[in-house]
Amino acid sequence: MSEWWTYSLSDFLLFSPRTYYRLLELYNLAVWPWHILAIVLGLAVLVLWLRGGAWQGRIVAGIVATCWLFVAWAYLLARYDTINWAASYFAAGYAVEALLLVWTGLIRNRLSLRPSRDVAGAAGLCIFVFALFAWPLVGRCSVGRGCRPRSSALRRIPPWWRRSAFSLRPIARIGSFSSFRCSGARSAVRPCGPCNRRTPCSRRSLRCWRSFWLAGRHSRGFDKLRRPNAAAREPAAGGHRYVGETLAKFQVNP
Amino acid sequence: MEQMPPLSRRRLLRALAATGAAALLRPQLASSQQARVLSRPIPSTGEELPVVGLGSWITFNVGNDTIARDACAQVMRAFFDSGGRLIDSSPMYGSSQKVIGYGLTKLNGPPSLFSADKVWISSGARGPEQIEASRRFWGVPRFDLLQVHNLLSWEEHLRTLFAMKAAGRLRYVGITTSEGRRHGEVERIMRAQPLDFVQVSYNILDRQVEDRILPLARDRGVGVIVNRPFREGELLRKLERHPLPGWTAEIDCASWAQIILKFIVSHPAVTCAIPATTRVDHVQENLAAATGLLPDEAMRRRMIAHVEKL
Repeated sequence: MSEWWTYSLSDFLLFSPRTYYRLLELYNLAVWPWHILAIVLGLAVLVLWLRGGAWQGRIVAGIVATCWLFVAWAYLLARYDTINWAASYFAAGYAVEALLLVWTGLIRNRLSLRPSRDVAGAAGLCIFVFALFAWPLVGRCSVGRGCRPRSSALRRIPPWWRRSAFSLRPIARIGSFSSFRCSGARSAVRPCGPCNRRTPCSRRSLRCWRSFWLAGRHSRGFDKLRRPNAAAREPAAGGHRYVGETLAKFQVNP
Repeated sequence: MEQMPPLSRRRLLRALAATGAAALLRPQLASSQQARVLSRPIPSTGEELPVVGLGSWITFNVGNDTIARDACAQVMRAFFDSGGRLIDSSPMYGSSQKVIGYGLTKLNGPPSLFSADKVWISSGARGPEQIEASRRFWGVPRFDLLQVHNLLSWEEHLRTLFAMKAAGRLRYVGITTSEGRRHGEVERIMRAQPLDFVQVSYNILDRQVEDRILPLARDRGVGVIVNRPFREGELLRKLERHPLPGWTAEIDCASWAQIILKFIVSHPAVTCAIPATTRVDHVQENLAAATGLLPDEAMRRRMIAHVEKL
């Protein structure tokens, strides 16, 4: 398929923006009032994150895994699949993600979140709070319908936990494709830091090296990756963050 | 303030008679409008086909939204009322096939429909299964035209389609490509296979097909369907920033969309252009481009020169 390079991203969009917004609107109408439960679950994750506890990792993993599965079924398969034939593949990916979370967090209990007072930790908290409370309003405003209270019902289920998981695990550079790929709940599955000796897979797993490589794409200071805690204290110039610099917030239990 | 005159029995009867006459006259006007729609013969059979059809890429992929589906059905109604026949879709277009089926059911299966769909699956063995699923989505007894979408597994699918045609389960066979891709391969297939149609992208700025594909189609007696006449709307958005040229009225056009469509269908090798839209007024405007005068060769050159300067 040598002609693949002639395609632009827009060629893969099968529907109009209007159709997509309408789909979200209908989806949220259909799942109402589960949005309230979603907010409660988000708050529970927030509280657990801040307070810790013996069951913290298990509960958070259970909540997030449930959300992945819910979106795979209620949104991707039941709704999005009607306008995008690739949605079923996405749903399969979401299901795998949920299973990995269940395996790592729920069954093996190897997930723990620790609040941190450094810049990265504060940024993660801000992103989480933003995802939980402000993102639905942003979504509403972005389609030009005004920020009415009803807007909280819109786009509720998919965003909060995706973006909060995104914030639980710090990111190389928010918004960039690479950082998106290496962040989020996916990274929670194997939350090891490159060269972080406190984690069991340090220097040994492919994921570790991949994270290292991704982080390197966003920085010139590879040496900081060798000292993730130091890097967390010293954010990189230009607003760049490293994957490795805050990996400690989401450590694997030894 | 002026008062209305009193309504006498005579006036009332006159008004009722006029209303009845108008109701009787309307279908005749509609049919006379249809009669004015320009058509071209399909080279392999001579069957006449209006030069403007209806595409469904993006526009008809609205999922299960009933309101949007009804809007699409309205577009289809306006299309048939204006004399259109050919509707084109593909399994690749999400829910478009189902939405077309929904519209056809609402319109009680318009007899003038010329159904054009595609087969788009890498497995040749699963082609018939996909075609049958598409047919059920449309709710038609058989397709008029089936095309191999973007040449995907074309050798296997063409075997299937020719077999269907021989068995009387299909009337026409074609292949498609878009945006200038794989023209060399299209050309080779056109030379080697007894195709009825080839579908390509062509408009006043993207004219690569004029060099080889369109002349070959004329030589080989292959009908040409033109997709993306407006570059998915991008071309119109660009042109509509400028005033209409002075020669617009000379070719019976009233908008940029009609100018673009008339340029396309005035090429002697082109059988039909298939613009897609979600709006009733746009589909009527598009079908209006299939009426009146078409530009001659000198005017076509003038049109190109004008648009290229903008």
